[in-house]
Amino acid sequence: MKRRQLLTSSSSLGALFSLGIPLAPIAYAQTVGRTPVRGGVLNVAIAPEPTQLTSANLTTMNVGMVSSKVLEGLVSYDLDLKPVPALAESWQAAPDGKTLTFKLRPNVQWHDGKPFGSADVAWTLEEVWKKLHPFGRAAFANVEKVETPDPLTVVIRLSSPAPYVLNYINTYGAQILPRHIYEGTDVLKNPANNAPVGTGPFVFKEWVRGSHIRLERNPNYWGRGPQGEAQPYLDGLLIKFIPDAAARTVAIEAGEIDVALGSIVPLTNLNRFTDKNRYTINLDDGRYLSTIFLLQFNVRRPHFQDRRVRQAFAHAIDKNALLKVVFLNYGKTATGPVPSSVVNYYSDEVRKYPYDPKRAEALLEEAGFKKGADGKRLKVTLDYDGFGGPIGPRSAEFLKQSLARVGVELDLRTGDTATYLRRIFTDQDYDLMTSSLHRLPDPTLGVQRLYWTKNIIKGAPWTNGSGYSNPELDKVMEAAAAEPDEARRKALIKQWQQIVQEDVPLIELIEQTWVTVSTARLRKHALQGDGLFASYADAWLESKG
Amino acid sequence: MASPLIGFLRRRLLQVVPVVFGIALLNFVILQAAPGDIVDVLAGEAGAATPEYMAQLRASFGLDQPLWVQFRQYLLNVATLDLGYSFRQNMPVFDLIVARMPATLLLMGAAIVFALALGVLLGVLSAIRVRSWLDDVLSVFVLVTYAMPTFWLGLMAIVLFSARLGWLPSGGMVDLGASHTGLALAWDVARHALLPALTLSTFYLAVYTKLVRTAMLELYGADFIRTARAKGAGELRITLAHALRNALLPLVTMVGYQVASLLSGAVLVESVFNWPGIGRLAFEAVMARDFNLLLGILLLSSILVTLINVLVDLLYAWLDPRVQLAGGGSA
Amino acid sequence: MSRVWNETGIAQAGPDSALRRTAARALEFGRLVLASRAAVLGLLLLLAVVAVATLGRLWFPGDPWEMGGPPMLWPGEDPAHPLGTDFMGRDLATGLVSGAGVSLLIGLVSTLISAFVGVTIGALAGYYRGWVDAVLLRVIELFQTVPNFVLAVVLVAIFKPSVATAVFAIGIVSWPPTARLVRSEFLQLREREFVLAGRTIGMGHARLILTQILPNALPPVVVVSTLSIAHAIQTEAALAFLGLGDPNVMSWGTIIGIGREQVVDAWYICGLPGVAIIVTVLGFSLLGEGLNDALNPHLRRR
Repeated sequence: MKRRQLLTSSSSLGALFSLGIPLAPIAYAQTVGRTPVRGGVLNVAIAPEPTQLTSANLTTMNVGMVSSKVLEGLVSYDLDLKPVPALAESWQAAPDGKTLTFKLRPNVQWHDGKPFGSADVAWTLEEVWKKLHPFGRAAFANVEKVETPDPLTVVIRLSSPAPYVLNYINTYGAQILPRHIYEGTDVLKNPANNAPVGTGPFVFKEWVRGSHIRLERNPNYWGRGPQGEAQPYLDGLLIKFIPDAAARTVAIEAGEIDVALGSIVPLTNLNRFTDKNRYTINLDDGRYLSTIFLLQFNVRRPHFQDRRVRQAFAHAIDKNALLKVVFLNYGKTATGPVPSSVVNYYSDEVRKYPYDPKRAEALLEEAGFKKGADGKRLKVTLDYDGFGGPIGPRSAEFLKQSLARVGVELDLRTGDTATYLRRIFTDQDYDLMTSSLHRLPDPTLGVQRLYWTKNIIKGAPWTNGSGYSNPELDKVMEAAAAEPDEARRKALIKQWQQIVQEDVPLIELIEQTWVTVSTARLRKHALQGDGLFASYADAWLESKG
Repeated sequence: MASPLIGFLRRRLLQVVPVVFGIALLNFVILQAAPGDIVDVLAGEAGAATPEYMAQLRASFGLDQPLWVQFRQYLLNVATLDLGYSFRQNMPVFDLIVARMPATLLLMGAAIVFALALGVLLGVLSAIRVRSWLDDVLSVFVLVTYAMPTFWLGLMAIVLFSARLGWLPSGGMVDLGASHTGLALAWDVARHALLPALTLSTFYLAVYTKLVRTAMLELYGADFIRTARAKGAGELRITLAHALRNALLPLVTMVGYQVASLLSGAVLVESVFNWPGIGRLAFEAVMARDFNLLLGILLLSSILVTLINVLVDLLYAWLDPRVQLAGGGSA
Repeated sequence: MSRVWNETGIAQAGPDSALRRTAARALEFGRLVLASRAAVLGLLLLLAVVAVATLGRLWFPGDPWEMGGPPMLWPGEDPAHPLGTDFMGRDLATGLVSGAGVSLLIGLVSTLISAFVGVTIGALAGYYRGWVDAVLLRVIELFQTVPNFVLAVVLVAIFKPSVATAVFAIGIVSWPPTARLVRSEFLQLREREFVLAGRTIGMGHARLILTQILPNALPPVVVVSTLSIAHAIQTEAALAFLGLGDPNVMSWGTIIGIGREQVVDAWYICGLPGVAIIVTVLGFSLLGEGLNDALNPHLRRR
């Protein structure tokens, strides 16, 4: 039928501007309230079920969402990603950047009654963050010594400046464990990982696998409200696992769930929560993570070694359409490896790749990929994680369509997470892959790992999987890592972004927004940039009615 | 009377052994052939890991041993009912399964009860009123329910009864917010179990209805039944009793055969309704390459199936005294 | 069960007469089948599905994955998309039509595999008996004790989800009922006079199995296989729904999986392919019933 061809031949993605997909995302920040109400149990939904309840040795988001209520870090982050005191009351960096001093909060107790002190921080840093935590290994690589002159002071001595540390050390990135429970044991197998003991506003009560986790108020919590009242206000938290996405929507509407964290409510269902009197949609909770969705080339493959091919792919993908169709406008198109939310270091003075299929085809022709008799220039595979949520399959389908228009045929390959990781990082047997990666508030921690030659490690997941190796870039990144002067560091990171965007070993596509849906009755004193990992000490539920 | 029974039991239970061995071997072979292992999953989820650390993990899980050593070790463990440790869930496999098994058993039990009760009722109805409009309507109903994909029915049921009408909860087993106990808890669970159990039962309902109808008609024929009806209620009741007795035997056999497929169906239903049973656990175990957990589930469910088959054979023999307890597998 | 055939089962000399006899038998069988209301209805339904799968492509050509339309259109809202679109703007009618072909193909091929495996194992077990039978019977029991769908999920999830893996996995878990049936047929048939006669005149085992016993054991297998196709289509839909379908191919189960998140408001995305599956499975079930009636005229009640 002709009319079908008409629809498909034109850039009919413009037809998306109708019927149900809002142009701008629905968003209004979680209401900041004034008078807290004491009492009530907050029903929280997360998915999938976490594998353990401490975050000191891993970066899994859903683990962090739970552990952050029980265990704490030195600081947390406000909306501008500036550090706010948590277990550390104040901190100072020496002018040469090689010493960091933290003054800890006094009179803090672990849930089992033992006192919290600098020994806990020192031990966790040396034995856990530095040795086991994926980001911590990079963040604390320069730590030579940790001194604890008194129970409330921690002094970190660095071999060279580490300006990124202060941007990073919250309960997700650097969670403090109780030394008296973990010292001398196998940290990974310690049963406290499933029944955590922390200093946070909520005490662990029970974990019924396949069902829920129950946390109760910590009566001895150190936190105080603006009027000096004791925190937390809530009696407890009931964290439920709801594997089915549509069921989460139904649960919120039925009032069975008060808050759903981390984009687990399907984006297509968010239009059911537009009533501001009943629901709140928060888009800032994930700022700290600054996640970017990317398409990565295996540059070891001969057909991807020519930069023009990679640039052609970049021109062939309409990022704005991708943002609308797959992410429903929840997010921003990315211009480079550093997300725009990292205001200090982001630069958009880089080579841009606007949607230009003609230019893409011209580049492919130049690179020697002419159209064959079937109209195809190149046939490659795209690997994606089929079980990490709907973004993977949908974006893969979108990319397949986009690239087909310039003569590139994508053969989609899915598998479960284990197969996907094996294929890409161990076997290195793939052409293209997509993934979402957290960039964190500092490029050295979250971005360098993707482009660094020294991070091409066969067999280790989430390393430099593309195989990209550029000595000039390595020098720039390493210099930026150790540069104490802010202005100079900023310049180095700008150069970093420019080099990367010229070579595009991976195409940075969309800056993802993490969406939290909650009942309008949920209030807090202040919003956080790492709201996904907020302790909820200052949260309360307004009464119904 | 006692010794043939004991002999029968012993023979049947001994037959479990090769089945267990076979399942272990099958599972082992498949998971070995699979790309990626549990360490890949753990490392991937954790966010990163060095190859040395991953090698360390593999050694601690015993994954670096030669295959036959791993397999032999596993068989030895199974013999002592040590099903191993799930490294992803950080719990012993046996505890995990035992915690989730009752939920699935409840679901399966309720589904069978519904299917049998409704199946017998509808089968009898359509047999009594054979060739009438009721019979035709029921025939169509049976055919359509047989053809319906279970998971699809579950989804549609949630849309109608949960989202639209709000009569029943959309998922889970209990209302976690309210800590019910005793009778209130039982009622809560029943409310949550209604939709999933009904959904799971539909396919079998269709089968049993058909079976009862066929069995009754086979015995008596349409004319006989109509004559009995004409003669009055008492005559009808006696006829029914005899006819049902005839239907009972194949019905019982069929139920036995279908336990395995019920478990399969439970995977889908538990997934759609977020029911915390072992069906969903099995799916998660496959995704996580949790070899120990998956094998444990398959083993225990196979033992369950075999036990139920033994029970069915016993029931069969009790119902029909002509049948002798044979030792070999049925033909 | 196979009484219609057994009387004339003895092999006789003369290829023409054998051919004529086969043709006569086929015609008789065809007439019996068409006499069954169920079979006729089933055939009609199936013809409709096949028509959709083939002719439907003329009406709705194009790529079902093409995100060309406005998203979340309800059926009937827009004549260009008579059955609506999903949330990514993909036309549902095109998807259903293309899915018909995929589902039918997978159902047929996987059933062929399971029939082949089942017949082979059943024949060997029933013919040779003794320890061969004992071993094969254990294997059959093994596959019947393991929950089939879980095994299929394991196989597909672990190897690359694709049409090939799905077909292979479904075939592998579906063969036991066929094997049991063929086994019991063989156990009966091998004692028949025509088999003994064949052995007396010196026929080898292979020839006996393939030319004498098998043709008589096949009819019930055809019935079981027809029902098997229905089951295979449902299993494939379930696999696709769980996310284990071939990502390059759109089947009905894939569409249900796609629509799962929107099931609360845009339930037609899940609803329509479900109806399609019901119709197809119904067709095969009715056909199977009709075939069964044709093979067992003494049981027919209608």
